[in-house]
Amino acid sequence: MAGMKFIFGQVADLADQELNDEGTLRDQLLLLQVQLEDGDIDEEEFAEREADLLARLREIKARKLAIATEQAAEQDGVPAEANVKARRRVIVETPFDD
Amino acid sequence: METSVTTTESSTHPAEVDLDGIYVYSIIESAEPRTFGRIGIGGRQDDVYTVHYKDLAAVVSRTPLVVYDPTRENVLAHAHVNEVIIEEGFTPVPMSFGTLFKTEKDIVEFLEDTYAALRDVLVKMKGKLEFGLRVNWAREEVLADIEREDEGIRRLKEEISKSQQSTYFARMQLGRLVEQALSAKSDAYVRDIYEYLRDAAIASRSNKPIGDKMIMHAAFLVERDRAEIFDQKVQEIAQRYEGKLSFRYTGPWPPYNFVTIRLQLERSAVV
Repeated sequence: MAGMKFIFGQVADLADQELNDEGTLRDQLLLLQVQLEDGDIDEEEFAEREADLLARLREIKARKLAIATEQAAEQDGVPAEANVKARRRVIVETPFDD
Repeated sequence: METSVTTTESSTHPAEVDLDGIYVYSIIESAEPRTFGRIGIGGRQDDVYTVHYKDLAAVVSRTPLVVYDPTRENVLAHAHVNEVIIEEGFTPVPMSFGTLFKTEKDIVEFLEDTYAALRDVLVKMKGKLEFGLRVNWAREEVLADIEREDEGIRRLKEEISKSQQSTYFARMQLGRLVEQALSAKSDAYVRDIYEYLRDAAIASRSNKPIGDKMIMHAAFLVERDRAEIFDQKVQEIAQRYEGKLSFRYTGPWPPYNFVTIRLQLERSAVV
């Protein structure tokens, strides 16, 4: 049982790590955009670096989806296939600072 | 900006796709069908039109059923549609970038299921627009100011330049003092700008500055009929700091920073 727990812990850590990586990549995308608008880089360099960042972002997303699908299957005892068709929940938020 | 990307259940790669889906840009209040031109995302010149439930309408276009990467091109296409909707006098409540549905029926169902919440947000946001403001500083200029004005820093600098020895700690201390002074200046600028614009805006949101030149990255929610006053005030404050700060002012946008509508997968097994 402890062994299983350890493995779940590892998976969770990995998921956290990926989440952080995703945040970092999104920050880098934003920075790239700002650099283009400020004239620090040209269109060509922008396109090249954007493509690279997006490819890495896609990879992370694909891995995250795989982990989530697997975990959902473990927890529900339902085959992963069934979970992909899950319902979508709508979230409406209105964040205000003041 | 909230940039969480919502995907459809199928995460098919563009190359494998032969199905069409429907991309949703935003929700508006309109009982009448509308079209906004052939400006749909995806580069096929798809018509942008409305799908209705009661007095609510989703502004949509047909597109291949793909996961849209948040490329500059795609994000600008999404934003442009919302710009046009604003020009036509609507106040759109924006959907997250990349929101796709399979059929119009799915969208009507979504509007029906979420009707109360959407109405609520539309009422709250009626006649309100968002403006973005990013402020960069000319760090060297500000630093020069600090060295002129700050007695302690000036004296320490003189000491270091005169003395031949034991300048290590003095230099360390100088570095620390300069950093502190810069950070205090930056805080003061940002406070002053918010203070100056506060009366003309309904609300503001500060986002994390991007890169090391930016000291302010904010969004302001402004009444449509006060937008000119807000513009004016931004020009004035930008003039006040000319040479030290550069302002990048964008909008009007739909209230991206003040409303987010996201669709999240929910596991059906959990009730």
